[in-house]
Amino acid sequence: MENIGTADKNSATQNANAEKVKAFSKAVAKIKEEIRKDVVGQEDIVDNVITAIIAGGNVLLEGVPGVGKTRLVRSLGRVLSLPFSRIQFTPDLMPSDVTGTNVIEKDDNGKMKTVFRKGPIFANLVLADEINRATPKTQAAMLEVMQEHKVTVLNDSYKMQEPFFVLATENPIEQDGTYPLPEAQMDRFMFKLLMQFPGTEELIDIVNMTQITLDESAEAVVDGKTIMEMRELAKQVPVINDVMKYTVNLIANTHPELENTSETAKKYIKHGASPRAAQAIVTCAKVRALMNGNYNVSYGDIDALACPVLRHRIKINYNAVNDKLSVDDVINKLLAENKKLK
Amino acid sequence: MGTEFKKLKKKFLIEAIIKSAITGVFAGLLAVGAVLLGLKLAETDINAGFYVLIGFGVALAVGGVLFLFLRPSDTKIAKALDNENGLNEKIQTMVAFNGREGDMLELQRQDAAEKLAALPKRRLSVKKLWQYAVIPVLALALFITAVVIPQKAPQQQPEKPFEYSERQKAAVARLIEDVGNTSLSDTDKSSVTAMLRTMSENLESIKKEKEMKAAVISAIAFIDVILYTSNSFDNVAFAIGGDEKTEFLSSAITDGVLFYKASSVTVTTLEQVKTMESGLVNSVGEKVDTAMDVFVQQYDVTIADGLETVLKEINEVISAVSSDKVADETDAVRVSVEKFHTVMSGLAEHLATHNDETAQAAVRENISAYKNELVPALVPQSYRCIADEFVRRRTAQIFDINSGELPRQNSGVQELDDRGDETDNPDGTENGGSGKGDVVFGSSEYVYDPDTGELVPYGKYINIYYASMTEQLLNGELPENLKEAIKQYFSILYSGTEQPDGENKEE
Repeated sequence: MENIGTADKNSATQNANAEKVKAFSKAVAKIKEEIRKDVVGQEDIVDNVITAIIAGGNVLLEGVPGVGKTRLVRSLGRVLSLPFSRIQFTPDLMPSDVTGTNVIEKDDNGKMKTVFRKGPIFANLVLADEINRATPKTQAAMLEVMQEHKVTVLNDSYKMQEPFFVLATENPIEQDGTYPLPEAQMDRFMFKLLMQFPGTEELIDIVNMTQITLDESAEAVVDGKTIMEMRELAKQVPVINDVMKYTVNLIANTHPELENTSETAKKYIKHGASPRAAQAIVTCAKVRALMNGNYNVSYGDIDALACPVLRHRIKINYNAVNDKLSVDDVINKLLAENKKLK
Repeated sequence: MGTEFKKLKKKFLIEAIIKSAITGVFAGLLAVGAVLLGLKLAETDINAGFYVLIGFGVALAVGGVLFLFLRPSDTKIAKALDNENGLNEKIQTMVAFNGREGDMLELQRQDAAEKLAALPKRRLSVKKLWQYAVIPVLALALFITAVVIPQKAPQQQPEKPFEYSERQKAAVARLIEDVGNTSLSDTDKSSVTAMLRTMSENLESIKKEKEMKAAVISAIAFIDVILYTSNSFDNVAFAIGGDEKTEFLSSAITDGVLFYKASSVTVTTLEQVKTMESGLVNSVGEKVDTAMDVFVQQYDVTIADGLETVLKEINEVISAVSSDKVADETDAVRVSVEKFHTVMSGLAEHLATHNDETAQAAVRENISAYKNELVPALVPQSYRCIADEFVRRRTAQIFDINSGELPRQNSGVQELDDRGDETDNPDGTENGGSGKGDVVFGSSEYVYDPDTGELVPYGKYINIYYASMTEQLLNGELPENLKEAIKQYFSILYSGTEQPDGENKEE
């Protein structure tokens, strides 16, 4: 009887988990469906942004003006029904404009007191638009909040409400008046996604859509709590040692200074990726597996995430430039070399 | 892990066994084919059992090693299933986390099990089988080639013609004349010259070089019997030389007869023969003296120190000379040794009547008398040996035959026992000698039988000439006692070899 009882209990737990997984997939599908109402095409970008949000990482979106970066982030904010704020980064933007500052106010009794006025960073979903146009000082104000999800002003720390993530955009062609993000800050972004100019058909859809209304119509389908539950569920996805070794080897192979590194790194890479890259790729691979209806991480998941995770973390050298190789080309070479471990 | 995985594991195991077995079998065939082909090309063959042994050995080794590589572990099977079916590491994850608890792991296991159950029935992959087909195809090709290629027949050596030239005839006539001028006894001279004449007559009708060689070699073998083998010195020396104490008594005899061997001169002319013969008595005497000087030292003991024992022990060994198997009782060498033995025996019996001085004097006197009788007895035998050497060398020279092709002088007649295995040849070579009935010739080639045209061993071929020449000799002008000796010689010689008519003569 006890066994049967235990079996029933186990079975019930499994069923509950199975339901959670189904709910996970359903939620992802709904999010995508709603975003599709406002954003035409960019399927991979949408998938990766959702992956990063569930995994708890920040995303850097790079693309020419007008491809829908800001629209995507705004849609996400609504779909996820999370408090959303937008910071337009400009050269004169000060750190306090981002984090907030203490101001002196009179209370009801007419007494003067200092009160902390929260900046726009205090939201669950922050759009840091054109982040590379702010000065390094202001950019640095983002470091702590992006990594530790808290803000410190005059020795007082303020914790962000979870889930919290930053979606930053940057414009690749505007070189004048921009300040490239330092490596340390780049490393805080889980993904760097490249938004491509839409194809002809997609462009027609975009134009048609905006002729009817400029309003965004995506509706809230999940909330912050659901996102957090999805994150916890994804953590349980198992990863076998071989896949783990494959991932770690891929990251190690980006370092030209290591003894047994790849030929690609020796030839084309100046700086390799940090250990955060390995953490990011495995965490996101788990989410990706669940999103695709799998219960384990595969080599395919790792390969698919290699470019978004690594492209802003490695620096290519002049050999690569000379051979007309982009960062993504170099990463694909690394993947090809790593294939023997599969 | 689910039952599906266990079933698949069984299939993988069977697959590995089949692949290993097939590869092993064909590797065995490949090895047998290679060996067979190699041996056929080398025109040799081995026992069929060896092929079986090679085949089994290679099959087991290759199959065993391959199985060790192909033997499936759970991880290997899982990897193979994932890769073959594009299962995104589901099966590997299931295997890796087998036995671990967790809700997500349980879901993963269910998912993997469902995927396994949905897989099509596993069959041996034809695509992959080509890798294993390489060895079989090679093996079969090589094996069939090896079997089909015919065994190469031994190459027929082009036969060299022979014509008995006038120069050779004259040289043989000169040799016959030279033999007549040697110091041989008249009986020996007539026997040898008769042999050479018979050979010369036979050569008139011979047209092939190999046949010529057979005829000449068989003639030389006969002359060896007449001049060398019929000597008694070798048998006598062997009979009394079986002990450390009589070793020098024995070597006194052989060294005396074969003194000419010490010379570096190759005896090919009558002048050389005559030179050797002229100093023969002295030379034989010196050799005998040298050996006996060492021998006599054994008697340099006093009566008190055991002279009697020494005498008795030596006498016991020397007594072996009194046997008809060693030599005729009239043989001069045997007679001299017997006399020596008789005197020494007498001395041993009456030693009590002597003191050390008289005993030593008696020994020395007897040894001196023995030497005086032995040397004249050995001289005629030495003449025969020199003459034999002369005839052999000259004949070989006339007919351009290598010395290696000649039969050995003591070619097998060891009537007493298999002494040839233990003693060196009289010419000083150490080729182990030859046992009773051996026929030793210089070549083991195949030749064509002049009558039937079939390939026969050289040894068999030469027997034809032996038979022919024996018949002629025995009907010819040889003295009766020599005819008997030759008969006896060849009865022993043929006892272990096939006769031309296919029978082994036993007399």
